Amino acid sequence: MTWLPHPAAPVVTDGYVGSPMYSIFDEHRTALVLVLLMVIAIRPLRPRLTWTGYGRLDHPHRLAFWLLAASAVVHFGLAAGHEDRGSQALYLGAAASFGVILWMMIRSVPRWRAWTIVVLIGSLAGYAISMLAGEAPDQLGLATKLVELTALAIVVTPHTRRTRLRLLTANVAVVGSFVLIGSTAWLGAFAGGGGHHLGEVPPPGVLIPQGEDRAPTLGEQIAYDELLGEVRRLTTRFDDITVAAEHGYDVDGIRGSEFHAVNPAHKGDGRYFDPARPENLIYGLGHSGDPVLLGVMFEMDGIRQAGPAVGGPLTVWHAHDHVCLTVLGLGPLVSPWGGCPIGHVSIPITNEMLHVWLIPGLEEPVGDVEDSVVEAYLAAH
Amino acid sequence: MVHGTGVPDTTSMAAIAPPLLPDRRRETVRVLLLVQASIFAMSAVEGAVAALAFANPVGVVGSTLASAATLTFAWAVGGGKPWTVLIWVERSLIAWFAVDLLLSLGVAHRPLELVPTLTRLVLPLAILRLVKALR
Repeated sequence: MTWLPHPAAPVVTDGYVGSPMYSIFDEHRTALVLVLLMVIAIRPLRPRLTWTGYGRLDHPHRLAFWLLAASAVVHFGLAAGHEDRGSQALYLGAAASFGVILWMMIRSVPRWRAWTIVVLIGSLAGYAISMLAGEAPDQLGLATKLVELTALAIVVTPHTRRTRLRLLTANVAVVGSFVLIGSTAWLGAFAGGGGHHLGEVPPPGVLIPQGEDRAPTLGEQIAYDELLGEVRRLTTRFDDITVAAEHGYDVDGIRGSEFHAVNPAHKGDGRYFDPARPENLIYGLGHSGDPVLLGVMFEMDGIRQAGPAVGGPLTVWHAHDHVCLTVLGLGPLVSPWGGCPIGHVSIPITNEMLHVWLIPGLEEPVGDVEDSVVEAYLAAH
Repeated sequence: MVHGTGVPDTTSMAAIAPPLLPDRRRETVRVLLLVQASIFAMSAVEGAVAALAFANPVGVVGSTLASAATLTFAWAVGGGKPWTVLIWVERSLIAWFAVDLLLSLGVAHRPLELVPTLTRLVLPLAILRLVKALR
């Protein structure tokens, strides 16, 4: 999809390549600066706007006015930040549309509310379509849609002939719009990334070191083969979870398809990537309901401590970012709307880790493995 | 006059002012609470997906309850005055933001991003400021 400004676009932060959903594209920084200037200018500007009709607006509509103005400024800034003519035309068109409805609003032009809804829905739909086509979301885009959805919530709320049914319909439309735009942002974020190799764009919540993919050297290939052999030789004993428990792994409550049984004694012990002392064993529940050993996960001791890539491009460590965590364990990633579900805290970044899978027949047993492969293996046990 | 604004009720804009809410700032509070409830609803959907993947129901249960409670507040703004409860809820959300901010500063050495700052700090602060003015 070449018409998209940022298809599968990675963002590099602190040496890690990550999803742009939690960052801002360089081309969007002009728009951010402009909108921040606008926010600073609101207080001195407000008294000077009385002659325009702004002074006749009631409280919620004044808020809507500034929200729409912010969207207009952002779209103008986006036009300035992008070089391709197609994007510039689209952004300028959107900025002009918002400018026109701002003028209609303060001049109380008949049917201004209907036109505002049309422009807002058009802008939101355009964003959703680009996400569905594989465009990656970023913080400025999401913040702009948040602003537009809030303005939409103001203008769709019935102001005359308000009945419970009309108010309920408007509320359902607003809640549904937030969920819809948020969901399309997720789709855009995952469509643009899914890689775990150097040079690829990882999915949201995954960070991989910056670098280019290449063929391994002979030494790296030998080290990789030795590592795999050692891991397989030393960990097959943990097929039996009682043996794992005797060695300090927390195998209580194994559930799901990728349960990580941690060994607290191996975490932070200063020994990295030791095939005899993996920090986690990975189990899933097989078809029979019994735990099945799927692999191991090695983990570094500290944040941003680079894992030893003994196999070069064959052993790419990764970290996680924006993970939601609760007392009962892992939750989802941080939402496009910026938060975790109630009861969770947001873990901004984790230690680096590396998975080695023991599932037979895998082309790449180190790194990421498809869920379908794990599920098929578990179904056969 | 449009109540609470001191603005003469002589324009076509003012003519659309609903008679249901005596102070138009309440209408703003209602809309902002609706936005907050919508964000909780999205979190509930995400929590439901996580519940399937990690067998962890905390997110879907907590966020569904939060969304329903906030929608109830939004509906009640025009009639009753559940201000005290609302103030404590918003303060809790800001405290929750502060915890995540400290985690981010301490672990990742960077502040939280633009969207969480808007939804989890600016939005509750705006509601708090309006509610305190209306009390």
